[in-house]
This record gives sequence, C-alpha cells and structure tokens, in this order.
Amino acid sequence: MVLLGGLAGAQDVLPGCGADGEPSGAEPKMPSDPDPTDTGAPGPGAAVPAVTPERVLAALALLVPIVAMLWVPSYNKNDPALAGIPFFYWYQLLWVPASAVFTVAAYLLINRDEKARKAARNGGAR
Amino acid sequence: MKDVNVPALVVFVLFFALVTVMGFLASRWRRAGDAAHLDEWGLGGRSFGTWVTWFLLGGDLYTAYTFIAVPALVYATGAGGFFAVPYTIIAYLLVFLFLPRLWSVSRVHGYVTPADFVRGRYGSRPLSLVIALTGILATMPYIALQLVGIQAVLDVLGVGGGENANWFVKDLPLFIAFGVLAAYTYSSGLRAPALIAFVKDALVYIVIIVAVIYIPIRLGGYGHIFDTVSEHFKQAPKAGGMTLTDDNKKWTYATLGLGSAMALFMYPHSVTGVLASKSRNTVRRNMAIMPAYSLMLGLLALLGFMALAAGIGKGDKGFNPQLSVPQLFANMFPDWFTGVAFAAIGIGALVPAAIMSIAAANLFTRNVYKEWLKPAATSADETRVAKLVSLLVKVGALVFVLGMDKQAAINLQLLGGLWILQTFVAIVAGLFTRWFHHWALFAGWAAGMVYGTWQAYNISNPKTTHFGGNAAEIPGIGHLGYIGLTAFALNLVVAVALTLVLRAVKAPVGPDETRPADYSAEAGDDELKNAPEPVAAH
Repeated sequence: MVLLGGLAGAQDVLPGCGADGEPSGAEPKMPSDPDPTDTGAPGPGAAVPAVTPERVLAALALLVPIVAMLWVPSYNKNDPALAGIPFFYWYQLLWVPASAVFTVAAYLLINRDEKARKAARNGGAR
Repeated sequence: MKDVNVPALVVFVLFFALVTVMGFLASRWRRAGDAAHLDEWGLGGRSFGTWVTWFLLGGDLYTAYTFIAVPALVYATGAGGFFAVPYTIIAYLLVFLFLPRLWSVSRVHGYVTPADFVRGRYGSRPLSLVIALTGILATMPYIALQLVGIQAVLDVLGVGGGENANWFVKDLPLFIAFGVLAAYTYSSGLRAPALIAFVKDALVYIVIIVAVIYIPIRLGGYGHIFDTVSEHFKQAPKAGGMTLTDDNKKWTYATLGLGSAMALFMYPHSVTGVLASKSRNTVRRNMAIMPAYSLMLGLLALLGFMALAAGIGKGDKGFNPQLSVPQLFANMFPDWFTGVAFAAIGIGALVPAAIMSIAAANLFTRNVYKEWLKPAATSADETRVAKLVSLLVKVGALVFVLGMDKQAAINLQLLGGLWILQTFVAIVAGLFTRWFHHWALFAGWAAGMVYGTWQAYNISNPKTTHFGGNAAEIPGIGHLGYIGLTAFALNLVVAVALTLVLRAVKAPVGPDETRPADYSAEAGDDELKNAPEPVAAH
C-alpha cells in the first residue's frame, strides 16, 4: 500500500523533494487565507495542510473495495446463490458497481479538496 | 474444416468496411493546427473529453484477446479465471491515486510517454531508456495476440482455409485486415482508433447484453448452467472448480488480481489513452465510469460457463478453449447476429492494436530516436519517424504470429505483464517523491526482470516445458503467487536498500526538471501558461 501514503500529498510534505533547491513560485506561503473553507487548516496562515479530512476519506473510499477484493476467503463459497448464480460470482460482480460508487465519492472529496487548495493559493498570491 | 458461414461473413465484412472508412476520415475529426507535431498524431492533440476518453480507454484496455482469453480461462479452470473481475475493480481504484499526477506533469512538460517523465524527473538517460524498451518489449506480443483474436474468429467463420490450403490463402484475410489497419493508423494517428472505438464499444455492449440474456434462455436458465458446470468440474476436479479449492489457488487469485491491476496502467497504450485526455479531471472522472466495462468483462467471463453448459468442445480432446466463445456464438445465435458478434471481436482487435502500435512508436521516437540517435530532431521529424515505426511494429507482430507458435505469443504476453510491472516503482514512486536514487531504481528494475523471467522459465505445464504459467511459490510465504508481483516486491526492496546506501555515500543525483506544483496542475492553471502548446489553441 505504498500508494496510499502518496495520496496524502507526499510531495507537499517531503522536504527533500525539491532537493536541488529552486523554490517554486507556485506554492506561495502567504499568511492571509481569506477562504480556509471547511478544511480546518490548523496552521496559522499556512496553506491547506497535506493531510486533510477530504484526502483521508478519499483514501479510505478507495481502499475499501481493494481490501474486499483481496480478501478472497470472504467470498470463496457457493452459498447463498442468487437466481442460480453461486455467491462467488454474483458477489464479485456486485462489487463492480459498488467500486464505482466509492470512486465517485473519492472524486467528489478530492475535487472539494483541490478547490480549497486553489482558493488558498490564489488568495495568497493576490 | 467447415463450410463458410456466408450471412455471418457478409455482416462481418460490412462492419469492417464501415470502420475502415471511419478510420481514414478520422484524420479530419477535431483536426488542430499543427499536424506535423507528435502530439497531434500520437496523442490526438491532447484534446479528448470525458466521453471520448471513456470510449477510447474502453476500446484500448478491453482487447479482442481479452474477449477470447478470459472466458477461455473460465471455460478451462472455472473460478480461477474469474480473477479478471477483482483485477479490473482494483485497477481503477489504484490508478485514481497517481494517473492525475502523471497527466498534470506530462501536460506541463509536454511528455508523450512514461519514459519521458522518468527522463525529466530523474535526469537519467539509461533509466529512461530501459523504461522505454520494457514498454516496447511488453507491447509487441500484445499486438500479436490481437491477431490471434482475429484468427480465432476467422477460423470459426470458416475462412481460415483448410489444413491443405497454402499459407498465403489461409492468412489472406489477416493480411487484408492488418494492411487496412496499418494504413489508417499511419494517416490518422490516435484519432482513428478513438473514432472507431465508438463502434467497437457499442457493438461489444450490444453483443454481451444479448448474449447474457438470450443464451441462458436457450440453455435453460442460469441455475441450469451452473448446475451443469458444477457437475462438469466434479468429474474433472483437476481442471478447476466452482470455487477456489485450496490456499494456493486463493493466493494466486489475489496476487494475480493485484499484480495485473498494478501493471495495467504501466502499459504504454494505457498511458497514451490517458495523456490524450484534455484535463486532469477528465482522467479522474473516467476512473469512476470505467467500471462499466468491468461489469461487461464479468458477464463475458460467464460466457465460458455457458460454453461448457452448451457442450462446446465436449469429447474433443484437442479442443482449443480459445475457440469456446466464438463457437458458442456461432452455435447459439442466428447467422446474421453471429456476424455482428464476430465484428465486435474483430474490431475489438483493431482498436487496441492501433493504439498499441502508436504507443510503441511514440516510445521509440521520443526515447530512442530523439534521445540517442538524433537529438536535433524537429517535431516534424518525430512525427515522420513515429508513423514509420508504427508500420514496422505491426509488420513485426504479423511476422511473429505467422512465423511462431501461438503458444509463444501467449507466453510472451504473460511475460509482458510481468516485465511492464517492473517499471512501476520508477514511474509511480517518481510521481510522489524524488527520494529514490536513479541507480537504485535501475538495479531494482534489473532484479525484477531477471528474477521474474527466470521464475517463469522454470514453470512447465502439459503443453510447454517453459513459461507454462504465471504463478510460483512466493519465498517466505510458501504459497503459489503471481510471479510478477513477487518480482515487483524484490524490485522495490532492492530500490529502497540501494537508495539508502547511495544516499549515505552521497552519490550524485541527476537534475529534476519538475516542480511540486507541476503534479497538481489542471488545464487552465498558471503552470500551463508556459507549457508546450501544440494543442489546438482555440
């Protein structure tokens, strides 16, 4: 699950990332943040932090179907059958639309998060 | 062999003619300013919106070979073949995390291939080269398998020629199909498969929906189908079962699902489909709507059981499971609809084959030709070379299919998945952190490639002595698991360990041309103001 840590914006938290210096002008850390929205940014004047409730929830939403699918013993059985189709098959097929629902949830959460970030950035830049 | 199925053949040929015309007209579709730029030919001008991308990716990822091979595996082994469902579920969830970042950084810096990104991020030419070569190597047999898919359909249609027909007559239809494909890919680039994908996906959906309703009615309902199949596997428990019968099978099922999911978007043709979309959110939205195809794939897998229940290949010892679904369609559907179904599979081969050859051509042009052979190449040079390489790649695939055993193509495709997975650490980790050292990534890649290939070489099955499967014992766990994933774990461990060492001795690092903000840039953002703007800048 290397990746899931990544969702929390590893790039933003790892100081070593821009190893060769070069301060990027694109992430100005300006104090005034006129619209902290609902991200509950704790740091005074900091831009939106790397770990926000939205990002954590989105990661969880993506993780649930993955765990469900990798947990093979939970569905490796014939009963209960549905309309003659053994459990093994209809259960996994059911997870297809379910995973889409979880992905939509993650999409909405991330969208909200990115809007907040953008607002914070623009607010700081101007 | 059998007689030619004339009505089916006529319908098949009509659809083929239709998509051929579309393929050539596609060069005028959404045409943008500079046709000589590689972004135009190789990425459709990076202009595709949510729906075009959805059709394109669906047409790209769900290939004719998938339609043939997934049900064939279910037909032969039962539950084990159903791993395709968790595989595609996991794939979109995983890539939701990193594809938007790949899109953004590629858009800011004008990257066309994943190897371009690796070059920019790590400043390492050798690392970028091996990523590109791995991509080309993994893609070639995949293209060849699309031909195998067309051949299966032609065989059942009865136009494959008899055993005593000479090779030219036998393979003439294949030559025609691929000649036409090569011509319109050459002239229209990625726009051709993008446009044809609409026809392909529509046909596939129609055929699958009809099949999962109509065939069970003829076979006496789902309950009856599963009872018959269950009885079949009771008679032949060695082949497989309705569920996974032991721990080895469960481990293999889960690791194959996860490993294949991780490999899916490392394939150059998948990345091409993603980079062709016009915005970061287009990519994200697609990850939420792609599961519609997974549902179709799941239903398709059930066709393997229907073929068993219908007695396809029963009593025929040498029956090739790959023919089970085409034969099922031919037996169950009226002739004209068999033609529609076969057209779906045939066109289902053309779309991915076109995108794969474009992706391989992009890799060669950007990461071998421009990087190593002719650094001064202009955009027009790049486009010209890419077009020629796309032809060469297809000819190569054709020679491969005609000259070599089909089993070899299947083995190589298994290896292709394993190989492409070894590019995961360099690409995906690179999207989030610059912590890894490029020499360590190179060593990890080499370790994964060698270990995986060696393990696969040692697997035998009743048909072949080497490369006979994709599961081997996982060291330390003791159960059978997907070799690709084990090799990936080794790759990661080597990369981490060596990075620690190299950082400790302060080994030199290459320049990183990317900035943190590049990874979250969206269309319309400031970061894109200075980005290469080959796109139709309306």
